[in-house]
Amino acid sequence: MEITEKLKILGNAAKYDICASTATNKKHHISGGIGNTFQHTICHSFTPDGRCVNLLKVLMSNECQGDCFYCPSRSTMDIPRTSFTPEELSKLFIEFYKRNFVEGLFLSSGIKFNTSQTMEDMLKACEIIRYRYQYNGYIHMKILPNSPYSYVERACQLANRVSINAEVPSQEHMGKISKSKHWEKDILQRMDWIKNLSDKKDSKNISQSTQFIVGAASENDSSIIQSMNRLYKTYSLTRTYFSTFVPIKDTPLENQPAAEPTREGKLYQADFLLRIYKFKASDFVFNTNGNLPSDIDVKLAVSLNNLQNFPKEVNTCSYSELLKIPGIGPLTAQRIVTLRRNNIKIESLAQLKKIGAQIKNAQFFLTINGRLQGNITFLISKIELERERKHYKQLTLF
Amino acid sequence: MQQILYSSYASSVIKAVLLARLIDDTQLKNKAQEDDILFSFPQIDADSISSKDIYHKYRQQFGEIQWLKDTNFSFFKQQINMAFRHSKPDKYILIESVLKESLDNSLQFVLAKATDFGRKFYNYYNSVASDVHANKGFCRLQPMESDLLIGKINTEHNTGDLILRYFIQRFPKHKIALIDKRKNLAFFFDLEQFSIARPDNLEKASTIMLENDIYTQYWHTYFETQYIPEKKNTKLALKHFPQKRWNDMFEADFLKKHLE
Ligand code: SF4
Repeated sequence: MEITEKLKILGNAAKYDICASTATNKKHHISGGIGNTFQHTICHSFTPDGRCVNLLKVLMSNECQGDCFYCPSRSTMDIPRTSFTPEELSKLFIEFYKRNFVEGLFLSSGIKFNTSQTMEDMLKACEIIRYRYQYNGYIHMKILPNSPYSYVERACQLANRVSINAEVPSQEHMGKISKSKHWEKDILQRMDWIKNLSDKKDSKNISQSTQFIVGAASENDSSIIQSMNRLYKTYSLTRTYFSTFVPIKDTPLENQPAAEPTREGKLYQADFLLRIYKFKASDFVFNTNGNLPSDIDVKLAVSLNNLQNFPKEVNTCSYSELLKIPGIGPLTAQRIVTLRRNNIKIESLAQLKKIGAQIKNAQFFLTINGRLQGNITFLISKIELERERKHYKQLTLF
Repeated sequence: MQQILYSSYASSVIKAVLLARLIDDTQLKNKAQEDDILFSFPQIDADSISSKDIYHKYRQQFGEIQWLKDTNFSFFKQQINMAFRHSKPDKYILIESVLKESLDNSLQFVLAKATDFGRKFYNYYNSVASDVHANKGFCRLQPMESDLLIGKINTEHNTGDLILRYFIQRFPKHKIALIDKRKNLAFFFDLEQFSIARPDNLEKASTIMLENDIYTQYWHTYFETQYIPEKKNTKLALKHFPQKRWNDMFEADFLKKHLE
């Protein structure tokens, strides 16, 4: 098969894998080699869905022995199958990199004959890129479920980031999307190996991320957040990504409705609040179905549910307390604290706005020099009114 | 009146602003600024006086400048250096004003964007930094004979040399030529020396890039596979990839098609 055809098939099959970050602390130093990495992400283009394309994100092969019920590459699907050879893939990648089309490589794969052989091909491609082409740039490599330890170890040496998809929040949920994958044994154990490998002194800062498929296993946001929190704590993950389930024709889940499109965005908000704002998993507020409320900002919902903790005095409360105020992010909180250290007090909402706070919501949850800035009951009735209006609009549609 | 001249980098303008406080009846002027007055004044070149001497005199007369020892000071200098590259000529007066404000109030006050000058200064810095960042990502290179990589950039500010420096680091064994059509400039690195030229025929220089490169065709194929139509969100795409960044790019044409 021609490279063009292979690219069409193997690029298309990898597009739902989410990960555009190329930020890394891990450096590869082949003197005189090409490529470098940074602690921030560089985007090279955007598709009409608004996503950044900065990695050559492909499967090594879409041939697969797996049976994942949602997957267009599952073994029973009657689709064109193909694989890159390590030579083809490595050459293609390095030529893309030289043209500045991409910032790095994201390599995943279906399980061609067996896990070991597929991992071997993936590792071989990465070895050619690193050693023959003397590449010092970014590589993100997927670890296939059930991969042997030595292959996981080699991947950690070659890549800047490795990841294995959790896909679902528990073994019970795994049963709803695959008969052959075991959540604890095939996935969590590999996460544990990666964590231990990254703890080693010579690991050079390898990072680990994971991905959930939202809505494939009838799970709710609450279970995803609990699970994500556990994974962060146990395996020191750098990031979690979410991919909305979309039913694919001829798969066992073809008749299952697609997940609510808003869920993905809300889960990303929750992830940020967990990682950056240091919220606890128990802080979040869920609807009766266990999902995050779709009509209100996640942080605002948490604050409204914990009104006993407000208002906070901006000129005296700690950095972590400032972060709990809706409309105040890490940068603004840091600015407030730095100003305070230099004996400069916030005097007005206008000043707070100038230094980056979104006062639309923040004003209801804080005081400035003891003065309340907004009436919380006004905000609550505004939200309720908006909800009623939406409800009425929905009723009139039927 | 005396004119204090300074160059377009942080340590020079800082010295000039301090000198202006030490000497009565002075006017600050960047060396790159055109003369807009008919009279000529006696001039003092801030670059010819050592920082140590100026700081020492300033300390004696006005006391310590605490923020010179601040951990944020080196970041502030970086911001000044970037703001000097902004395309608007009011950058000079803005940088001078921000420095005066830092002396009168506090550097933190300015860095936190709590003042109008501080805010505008941050926006200038940010606009220049974004210009560099966007060109690092959106510039396409074409490998040519003799290990030459040639590419087109599209800069809003005076950032061509920074972008070239970035690619030199990335491809240390390649000669690199970047053509900026908007500025009518070419930036070149031949593995030893860096040069800037105004090519006679820039149009021709930029069409040297091969149209029928096989890997460019592969890229087009690949790029199209990454679009998820169910998630179409052109508003978001345009936010990240605004029209001013479209640099004869296939990706821009693809987006344009989906806007219709
Ligand atoms: S292992 Fe499962 S998810 Fe991965 S390609 Fe095979 S069927 Fe799809």
